[in-house]
Amino acid sequence: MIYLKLFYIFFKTGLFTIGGGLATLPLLHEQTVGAGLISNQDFYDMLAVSQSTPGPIGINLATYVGYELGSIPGAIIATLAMVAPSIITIYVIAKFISDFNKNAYVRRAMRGFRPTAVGMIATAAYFVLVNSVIPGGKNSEPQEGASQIVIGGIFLLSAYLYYKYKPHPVFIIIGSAIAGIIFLG
Amino acid sequence: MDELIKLVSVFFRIGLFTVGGGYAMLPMLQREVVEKYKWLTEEEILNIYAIGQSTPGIIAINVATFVGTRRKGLTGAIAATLGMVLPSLIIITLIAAFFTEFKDNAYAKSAFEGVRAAVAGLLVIIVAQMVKKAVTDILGYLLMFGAFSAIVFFKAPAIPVILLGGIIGIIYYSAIAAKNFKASPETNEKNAPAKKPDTDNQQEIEK
Repeated sequence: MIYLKLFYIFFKTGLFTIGGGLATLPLLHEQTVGAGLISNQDFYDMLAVSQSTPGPIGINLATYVGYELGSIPGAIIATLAMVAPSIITIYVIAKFISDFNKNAYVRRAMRGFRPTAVGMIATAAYFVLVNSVIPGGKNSEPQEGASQIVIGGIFLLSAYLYYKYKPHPVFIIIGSAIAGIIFLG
Repeated sequence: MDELIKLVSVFFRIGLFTVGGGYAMLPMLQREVVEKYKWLTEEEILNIYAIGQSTPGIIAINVATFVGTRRKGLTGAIAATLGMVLPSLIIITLIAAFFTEFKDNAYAKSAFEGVRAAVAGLLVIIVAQMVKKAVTDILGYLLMFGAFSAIVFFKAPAIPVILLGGIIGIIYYSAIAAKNFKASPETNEKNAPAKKPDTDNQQEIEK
């Protein structure tokens, strides 16, 4: 039953995501690609689309994966499942606990969570690098030398431009798509 | 009822005009929720962000739920959250429906090869910036490299890794707080970092 499975996957992802939408990446990757529901390439294509369309990235990813696996009902179920843990926990906090963040143990746990989450997000960067940029990665198709140089160039240039000028990711993604069509077509 | 419709429409607009992560919506949230409707003060918004960051779920959704709850209880929470996710649901469904059709097109394939390389570049920079913000001491580096290696080299599942990070944080920082307290009983946790900047996170003190 794909709908139940979607609900389960995204409820779990929502529950264990602490921080921004990118923190959903490692868990979502494990739950979808790891479980063989979607391919690695599709996953990172979805990420690119989620980053360049309106709405929180985590929600966009949920809607997207939900749609791929269960069409429109799948999209709705995945999205609702993703937000359900937020609604429950925040409702309880907003209603009953006004100084949640002042609790020493909560703060210490958060100080542990944050670097751990960074390490997990770094795995997302690592996997996309290994799969799509570095030659001979396990999922990358064999490339000619020239294409490989273009891919490496797009990688370096996007990192540089993003670091230096902080444009919105949508511009870099559109630019890289155009570069891909021109130089890799 | 009026207020519920307003909650849906305000958060719908915020969702629609936020491209990127939860932080990208802060200016929009300030304009709509603080300046236009005066539902919350600026300080309350920042507190909600702090809470939204440290509770399960995506920040943007947590903020919407929080504002909704404060305005209209549970129905308000649901209305605000619904408003926030509706633009994603509509736009992404349309794109996904269209995308599966043209994914196998040769141009689209080349475009996405380029895009994947760019996403890798963006992620590397985003991670580097997060390290600067979130990793402030030795334990932070250990947890970060530990989580990375556990997942990449040992294929550890994600949930136990994040939970373990929290547990280690509680044990380690509690031990430090206890030690500081013993060393100078008048030093409570709040002013400890002034003496030992390595052991407490400035960010938290500001909150």
